[in-house]
Amino acid sequence: MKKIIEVKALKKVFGKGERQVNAVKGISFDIYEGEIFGFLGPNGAGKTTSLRMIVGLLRPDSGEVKILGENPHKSGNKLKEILGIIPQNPTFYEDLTVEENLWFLAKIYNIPKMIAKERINSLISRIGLEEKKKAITKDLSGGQKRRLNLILALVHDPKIILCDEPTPGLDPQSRIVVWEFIRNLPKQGKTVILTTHYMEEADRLSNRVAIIDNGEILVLDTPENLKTSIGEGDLVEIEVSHLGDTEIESLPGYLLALDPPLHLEEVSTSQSVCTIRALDVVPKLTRILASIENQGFSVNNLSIRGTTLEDVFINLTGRRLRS
Amino acid sequence: MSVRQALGISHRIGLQIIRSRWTIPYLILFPIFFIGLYWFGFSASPIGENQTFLLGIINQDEGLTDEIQLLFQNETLLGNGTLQEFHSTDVLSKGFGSEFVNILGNLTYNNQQNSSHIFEITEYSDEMQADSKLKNRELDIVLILPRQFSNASLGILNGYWRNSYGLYFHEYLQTFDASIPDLPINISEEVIIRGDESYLNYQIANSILGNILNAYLDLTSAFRGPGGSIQIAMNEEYQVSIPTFSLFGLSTPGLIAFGIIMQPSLISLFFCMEFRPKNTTFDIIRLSSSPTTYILGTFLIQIPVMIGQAFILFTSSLLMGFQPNGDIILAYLIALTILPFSASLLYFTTAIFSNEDVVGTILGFGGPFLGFMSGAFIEVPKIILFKEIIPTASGFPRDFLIWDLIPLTHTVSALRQVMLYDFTLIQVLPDILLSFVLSLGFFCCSLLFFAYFRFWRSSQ
Ligand SMILES: Nc1ncnc2c1ncn2[C@@H]1O[C@H](COP(=O)(O)OP(=O)(O)OP(=O)(O)O)[C@@H](O)[C@H]1O
Ligand SMILES: [Mg+2]
Repeated sequence: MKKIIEVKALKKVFGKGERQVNAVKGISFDIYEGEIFGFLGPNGAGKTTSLRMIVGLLRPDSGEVKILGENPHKSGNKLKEILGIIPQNPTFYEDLTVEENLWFLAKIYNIPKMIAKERINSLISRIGLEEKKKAITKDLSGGQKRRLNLILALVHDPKIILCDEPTPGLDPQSRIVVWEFIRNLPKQGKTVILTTHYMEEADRLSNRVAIIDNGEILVLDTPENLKTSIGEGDLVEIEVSHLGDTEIESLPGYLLALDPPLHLEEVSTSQSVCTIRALDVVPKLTRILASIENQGFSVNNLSIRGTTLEDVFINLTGRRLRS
Repeated sequence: MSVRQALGISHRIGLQIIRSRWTIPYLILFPIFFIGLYWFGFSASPIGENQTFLLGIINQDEGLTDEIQLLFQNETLLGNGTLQEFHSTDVLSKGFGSEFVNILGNLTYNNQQNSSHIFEITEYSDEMQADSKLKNRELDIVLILPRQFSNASLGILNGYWRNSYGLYFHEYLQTFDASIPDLPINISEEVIIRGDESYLNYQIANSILGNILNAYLDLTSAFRGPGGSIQIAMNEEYQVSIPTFSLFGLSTPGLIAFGIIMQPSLISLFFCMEFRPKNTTFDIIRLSSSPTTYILGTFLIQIPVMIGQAFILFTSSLLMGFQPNGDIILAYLIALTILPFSASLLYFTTAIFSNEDVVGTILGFGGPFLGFMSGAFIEVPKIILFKEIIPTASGFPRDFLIWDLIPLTHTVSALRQVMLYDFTLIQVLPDILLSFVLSLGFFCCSLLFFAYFRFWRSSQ
């Protein structure tokens, strides 16, 4: 696979003294042609800052970005046509209509009229905004604005698309439209960098995910590898309430030491929830529940799910993605 | 850079202007209201009325040649009455120049009960002396009558004679006496008027003097020769209309300029929107276009908007009764071309620095402030940067004041001179050129600053 973007030891510090923020602390990675590369991290992790440095909107303090071998800060106009950025905040002129905004971009990217016309119409229909074509964008709903935001970056048919949090505030239906839209981009020969703090989004869309926190990349791999890296099997979360004197913290030791063994991979507790990871967990449930009740707890709630990237994040940082 | 890209930007701003609810109040109503207010308040206050102006005269007129003087003693012609009238005036011996000085000295404002003199005349033999009086404002204006003033005046008479009778006057006289010499034909000599063009008294005196000179030319050419005789009776026939000025009239050019200056502040609002910290539209611009394209695009929309605005303001002030003394077409041309051009520079200044609403607002007021400083309404204090370096049509170089750095100063001054004092294009050319050059200079500087602040530094 062809390397399309190379990022080496990229660093950015904002502010000075007490206000200093080490937004990005020397991240490195490569992006290959035709992949969807996910940046997953909580608020303030440095995702937007990284993207801005990659496209050349923000000068890194140190480190290097190469897009197709060119430095975006020095390439002049060369890379402008190749890059399409979908900013985190919907970015367009509020007093113009949907169509006018798209035409504006077609003009400043110097797209021939005929091509632009066709492309604009097709983008509008693919994202489902036909009915809002002539609406002043100020009057669009939040979700419609997000969808418009998405296609604005595609008017000039860029090879590389950097998409900063495409879905917050979308209803489930629109979210699926947007996901489909992004998922289809590689089929048109495009490379996508996607930032998000939704683990599901990163999981479903990305070929590879970099988990970023506090300006550092913690891990980088395919979602599958990341999930299996923290162990195999499904997760059972059991919410208990406490009847006797036994501390909930004693549960993991107790469950792991049962005889005959249950072959649990991992047991942990936090507050009133006991989380158990095990292969083939369903047949083992009856015994687990009975043992917990034996210890003087009553089970209030129970759920079984597969491992998510969130678990990976928790495993790495001890925190949840969204606090 | 491509023109299509720039036009895309113009189009977008144009749409924004059309759709903004600020457009009509800000661009049209407010300036018209302002002009109306001035008209209401000041159209009845005449200024310069019955004021006596201090006129310095350098009369270099050498009078008529002996030969011509002798001609008018010709017995034959006096006998048949042809030269009688002429013979009886002082013009013969003293020349047309001193006669003209007399006329000026005797002119009064006879439209009022009191008949005060229009000019208080001092004659000088030395130009330097007169100039230094001008500089100290001990004189309002200086008039230099050239050596050939008499001959040129006679030449005008002579030419008129021919236009009316098909013969030059001397050709006519020669039919009586073949030995009579030729009289002057087509002598071109310039009467020079000097003064400090930024001085109100000069400006008014200059336009009065201009009217008098025009009337003098009319008079000399309006020679009639009933029964073949020449009349030269300047004193009685001298009817000069004295232009009147009201504060409204004096302010109108400035008001028009001001109305146009308001526009950059509106545009600065659009700019502030684009440069608001949380707004990312400018990222799109930075990713897709270049500073030159962006500025060109904004410039291309700016100009037509200003032209439209200048037209509305100019026309509405005419409708309110503003009476320009000068060439309306030329005034329109200045108002529609060079004024918008120089005003648009304000907008670029705004563009560079405004990144927050507050800054934008302050700079929005900066436009009108510069309008004040350019002398649009008030006579600004004289802070001299360079002495006597701006050439003027009068040949009396003007000081370069600190306000002269503002291109608008020159545009407003050109507009005022054309509208109020009937200056010609040639006379206001130095101002127009200065305005143009300064605007262009500022444009280039702001382009550099713009590229630096908006495209380069913002990526830090
Ligand atoms: N211009 C700036 N000046 C100062 N600090 C900044 C600036 N931009 C970002 N930061 C800080 O840098 C850190 C990383 O910000 P960044 O926007 O990259 O986060 P993010 O991962 O995109 O977060 P989110 O999910 O909330 O969008 C944050 O702590 C933020 O406060
Ligand atoms: Mg972000």
